Amino acid sequence: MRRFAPLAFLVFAACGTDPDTPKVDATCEPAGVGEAPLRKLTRTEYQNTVLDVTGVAIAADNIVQDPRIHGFDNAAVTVNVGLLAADGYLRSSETISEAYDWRVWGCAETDPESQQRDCALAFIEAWGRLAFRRTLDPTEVGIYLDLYDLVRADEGFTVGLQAVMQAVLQSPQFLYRPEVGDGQPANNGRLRLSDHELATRLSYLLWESAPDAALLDRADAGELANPDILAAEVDRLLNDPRARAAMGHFVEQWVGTVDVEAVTKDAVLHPQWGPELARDLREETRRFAGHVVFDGDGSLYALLSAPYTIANANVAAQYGAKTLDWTVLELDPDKRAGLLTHPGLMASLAHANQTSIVKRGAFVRERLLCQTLTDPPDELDISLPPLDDTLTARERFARHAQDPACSGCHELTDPVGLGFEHYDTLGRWREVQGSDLPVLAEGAVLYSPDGEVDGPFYGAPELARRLAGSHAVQRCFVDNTFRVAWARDPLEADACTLDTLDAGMTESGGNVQDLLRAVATHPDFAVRPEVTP
Amino acid sequence: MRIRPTLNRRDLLRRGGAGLFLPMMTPLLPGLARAADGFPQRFLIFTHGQGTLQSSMVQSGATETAWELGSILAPLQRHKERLVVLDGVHDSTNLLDTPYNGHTRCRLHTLTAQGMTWTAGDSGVFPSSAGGPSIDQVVADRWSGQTAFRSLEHGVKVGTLTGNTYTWRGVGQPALPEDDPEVAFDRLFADLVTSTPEELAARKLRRERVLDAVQRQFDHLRPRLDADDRVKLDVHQQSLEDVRQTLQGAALGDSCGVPEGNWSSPDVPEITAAQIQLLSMALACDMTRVGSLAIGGINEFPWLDVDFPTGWHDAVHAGPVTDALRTDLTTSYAWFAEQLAALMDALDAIPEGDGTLLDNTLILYANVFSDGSTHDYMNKTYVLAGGAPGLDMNRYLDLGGVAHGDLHTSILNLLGFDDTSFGHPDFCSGPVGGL
Repeated sequence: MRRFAPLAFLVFAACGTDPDTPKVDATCEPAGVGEAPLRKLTRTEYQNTVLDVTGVAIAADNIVQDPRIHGFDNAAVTVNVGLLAADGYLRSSETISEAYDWRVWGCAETDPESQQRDCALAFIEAWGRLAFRRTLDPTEVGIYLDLYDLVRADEGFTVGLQAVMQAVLQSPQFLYRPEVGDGQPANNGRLRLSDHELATRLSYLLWESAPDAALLDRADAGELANPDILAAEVDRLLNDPRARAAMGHFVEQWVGTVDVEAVTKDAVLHPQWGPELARDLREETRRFAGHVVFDGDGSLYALLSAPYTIANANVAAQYGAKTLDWTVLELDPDKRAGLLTHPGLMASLAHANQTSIVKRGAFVRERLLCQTLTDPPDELDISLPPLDDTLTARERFARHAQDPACSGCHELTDPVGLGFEHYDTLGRWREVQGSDLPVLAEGAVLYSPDGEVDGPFYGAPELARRLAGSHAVQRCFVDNTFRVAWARDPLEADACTLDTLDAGMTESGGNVQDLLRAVATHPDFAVRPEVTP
Repeated sequence: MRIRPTLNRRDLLRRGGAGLFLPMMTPLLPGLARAADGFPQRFLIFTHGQGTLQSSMVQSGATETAWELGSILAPLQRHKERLVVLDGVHDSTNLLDTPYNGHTRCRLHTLTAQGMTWTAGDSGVFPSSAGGPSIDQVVADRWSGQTAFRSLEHGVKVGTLTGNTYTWRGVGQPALPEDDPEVAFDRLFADLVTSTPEELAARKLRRERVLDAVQRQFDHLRPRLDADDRVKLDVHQQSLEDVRQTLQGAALGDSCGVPEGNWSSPDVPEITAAQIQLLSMALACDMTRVGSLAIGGINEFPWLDVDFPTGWHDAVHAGPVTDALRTDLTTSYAWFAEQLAALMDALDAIPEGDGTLLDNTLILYANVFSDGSTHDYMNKTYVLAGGAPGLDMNRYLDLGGVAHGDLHTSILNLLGFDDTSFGHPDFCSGPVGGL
């Protein structure tokens, strides 16, 4: 298992740490062009794209859920369309084409055949451009026109067009994001993307959806090579509500609240836990992320430490407060700080009937510091000690600290997780636990990258503010942004790209929108390796 | 989209037993003979995660013919005459991937008998695939083309993560289970209940034409992509041909009809019951001859009288350290045996010739661990259920430490193939004796 320099800080099997943490070098030379494996639309991207290019909103029940790697659903390495997926695309395409408003193409079932064929051709060319994110080539137009002719002869004009839409929605040019370059020879193994391919990268990065007509017009005109126009388009995309939705989705995947609706709680202890509350807690994190990045100061610092949230009545109740639907709720900065203390996250990082210092500590290591923890060995008994009202978590899990078989790893997780003990199984604030034991949330961080955030702390808000201001967490955020932007893990060849993005983020005061701007306008975002068929 | 069955009740003829509605329908599609005297052999996998308590599978002192079910397998008592319980099987290929975490490893080894393949990422390497096809998919490949589906994978909360997938078509190709009975129903039966024969024929023709156009688009794109990327398109194109094959639909024999049930419950027992119903009817309709039912993703059993304070996984790891925990663990493991019994009930309720569908179905019950508390993969118990030509049932065999590749070889032999090896050759020494 080979490690390379600055991307993450592997905690080795024995749970020691990597002593050689390299410094950021923003004047680096690119080592080469990173891989660009073929991507397929994720389930979310498929849903968004269908809505944007057809106006049809679908539940996408029959579209296979993407497996998540490091929390994110778009890793190209997972692309694998088996029978279930292919069958789902077929059935979904039929549903969409039947719900589509065909009148917009100006032809009727009763019109003469030649007029209908003109309409069909117009549809294939104009709508096909939206679906393929570029102008169709003559071969492609021919394939769909042939299909239209065949089906129309048997079943009429509308069904003919429906068949064309079904075929487009199942074609690889729609479902995948093929990148073949701008037609010029590669330079040093680097192939410049076509303007349409770049436009597609931009819109899926910022919107998780297809380029709109305006962005396609820019690509048609070859204008995206102009840095001013590119920057203006990026700003335009960021100002669209779709960017807010995409940011919410990114953050909920990053911290893991995307799965909070699948969390189960002990029904006797926690009867108030249920699908509706879980859904609202998930929504809280999405809305909070959108608010901070687009309405607030936009900083990673605020994401991780802001003393407010966006709540509806259900969510506010978890904070012991009342509010109108989805408005700003001010919070006590001694009790709450940003994403880390969201009830949905705290509930996710807990068992059905008790908190989990291990899950909460591991979350900080893996998701915020990009450190890797190893699984416990097979032969180790990892069952939890029995519940005991008379013991604190620190006491119940004392063996983790004392037994050398445990402490090597648990000294990384437990002291961090103990700092979250003020948040109960559902993420509500508590001053006491068990049989009136006072909650003590004294925590400590050891072996953080460069030792940057090491040291004792009291309670999650203090930890959150320390993490929020750290370079280690910023770097981890950059790594994860890269992961989503390039649909793969960052690797050696990407070190320079990451360093540049990281340095830029520091310069911008940790602004998340600026990080997205920097990715979208980065020279590496507009190239791919030479295609070797 | 949700399509509700709209069959006229008068079209439905209720038969006793399985609680299925069995409409008398004439074959809708030409070229597909209804199953006659020679009923086809079927092969199913039944599997779940976590483990078992080896000592409670079969009562101690068992011999080949004088044996009794232990408390875990007790729910199968009514089918005991259609069981062969096999002890002493080592999933020995796990050695290839030790010490990687046991759950994923054992899941990817049990049915494939191959080492995993690995991919490099920024946190080290991670298992990206099983190292070969699982035994059900090997059989599916050999029987393909005869039915609409080469195989049908049904799941209960298995999900789509590579590491959670039991069945594999090959390296890099998980045979994902359908976890949603509603979607499974639509895929298998919705066309039948919403369409007249004429509409069905028209839809089939239209879909074939659409698929032709889609395949042309693949062929158009393919030459312009990297070799690695073309592999993804190849898999997709193969799946499109699988979809085309499904268009031939059901071979509507006497026992085939549209099942009616609760397809939308979020609860594990109801999902399991629905999947059993759908899978058994798909077999009755000869929509497939190979299938699987995998139950995963469970950590609580609110429908059982058990107490696992921090979840089943933790309790399994703790092991039967107290009598109470032993009882509760046994109850949880026995619930899975009960689901196998329910699957056998459903198959047994479908007449085929002088017997039932169960007589013509060989079910392999494979747990991923022999002991979940240590992720042990040695000395496992496998169960063969149902029937296959030449297989004497109602037996207990201690195979005394054979590799699982050997057992899988024997299963292929029982299904009529003359294989001499299965899976990784270093861990297979040929079929086991005495089966």
